[in-house]
Amino acid sequence: MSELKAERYPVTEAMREAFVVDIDFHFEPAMEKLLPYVDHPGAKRTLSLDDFPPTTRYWASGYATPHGGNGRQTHGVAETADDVIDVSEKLALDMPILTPGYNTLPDVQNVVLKNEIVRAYNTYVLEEVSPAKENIKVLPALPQWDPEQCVEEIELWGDNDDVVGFYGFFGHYSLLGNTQYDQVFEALVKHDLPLALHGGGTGNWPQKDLIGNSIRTWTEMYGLVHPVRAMMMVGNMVMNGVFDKYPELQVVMIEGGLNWVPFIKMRMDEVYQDHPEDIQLTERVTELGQEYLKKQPSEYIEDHFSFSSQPIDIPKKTKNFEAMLDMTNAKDSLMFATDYPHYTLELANWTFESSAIDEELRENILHENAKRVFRI
Amino acid sequence: MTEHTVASADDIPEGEGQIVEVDGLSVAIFNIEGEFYGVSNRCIHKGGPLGEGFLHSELPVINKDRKSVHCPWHFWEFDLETGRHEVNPSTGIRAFDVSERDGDVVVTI
Repeated sequence: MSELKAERYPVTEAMREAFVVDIDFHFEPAMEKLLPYVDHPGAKRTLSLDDFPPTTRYWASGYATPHGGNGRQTHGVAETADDVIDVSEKLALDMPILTPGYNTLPDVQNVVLKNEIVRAYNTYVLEEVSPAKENIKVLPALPQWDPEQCVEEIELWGDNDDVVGFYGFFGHYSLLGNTQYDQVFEALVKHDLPLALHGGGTGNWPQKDLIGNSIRTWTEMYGLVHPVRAMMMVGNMVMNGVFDKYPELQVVMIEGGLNWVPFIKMRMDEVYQDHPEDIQLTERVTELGQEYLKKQPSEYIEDHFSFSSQPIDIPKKTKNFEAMLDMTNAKDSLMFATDYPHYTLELANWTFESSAIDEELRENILHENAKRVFRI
Repeated sequence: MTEHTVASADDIPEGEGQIVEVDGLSVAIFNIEGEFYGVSNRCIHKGGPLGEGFLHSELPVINKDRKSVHCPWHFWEFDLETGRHEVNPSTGIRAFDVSERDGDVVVTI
């Protein structure tokens, strides 16, 4: 059930008048909603008895607030089409793009269980939820741990009118520059759909790792881990030639932050220009028979990546905000997101409150970029 | 400075808050053990309504004596007497002089 207290949200008339696409509206139905769609008898029995399977997840934002909890249901929970419609109305969202709320799913040990959850989730959301209203769009879950199963899900749902891309993760998982994911990219390109990647295993830098064992606070864990993982994912896909092989592929990075983009563009270009020869040792570039990448790393980032606005870290000085929006190529790459219902929720108010954002840029952020990238 | 009667004291029970409009400003009024406090209703972080927030004293915290409010959006915490942010006192929100007089809550702005 949605439990949104509308008075808590400063929705203005301008926000209501604007057409707002939210590219990260987490839809997280309880297991009982998915069970009718679980086919595997063993999985059905286990999920009936024990609910969502346990993971190795340890970190929780609740340690850092006086409220406790895990911060994932701070603004309610959307489990049904009516919930989505109700919340969208209260938060002035015109087109919620539903993203799976199961961000720790890759950490589940049992592949059969998590494949069944993905299959059941995608079926439930696309058969029972998105048909309820034209403007509800969906990023179905990708079982990223199983590339062949990813292709099955893409083939199953890729032509559905409500599907605007597929949803995977950047986290402490294999980076997608690995050639085992080529079949996934091929399927996405075939269906003309982007790959959306969200921070996964939220706040889970494994303790066995020396860095993970050293982290003590949520500021380090949530504040820095997502951007670091996102940077590594972008760099790995670029340097392993994914976009030379799949020049039509678009990737959307969700909740990984934005302000690091100019940094890695400059850093990667410089290091690549200094030391380019090892590119010939990467599998995909070898397969393509190339001596070097076709473009500079920064050009791939500009041409193939977009970024969710949440979390938007706005500099205090307007001139710095203007520079940030310019250096991150926000006019073409920034797309509004709320992260509903997590405690990190943001509404569209910030796009109206700074002279650094003119009307054209605001429209690009609130809907134009999303319409183009998600082929809406 | 002008005094504004904004509510009846009975309308704001202990441990609760209320949002009032004063001279074009949105002000969050709180009642902690019969004492009234007032701060700007708009959080400096993302604009969340502090009047809908959580009083520190009402939360399961160790130091319940702290007179502060947590924004309902992202839990930024502000001292109700000074308006200062609890972990970054160099920033904060506006705090107002609030008193109870003859059963009315009076804000001076």
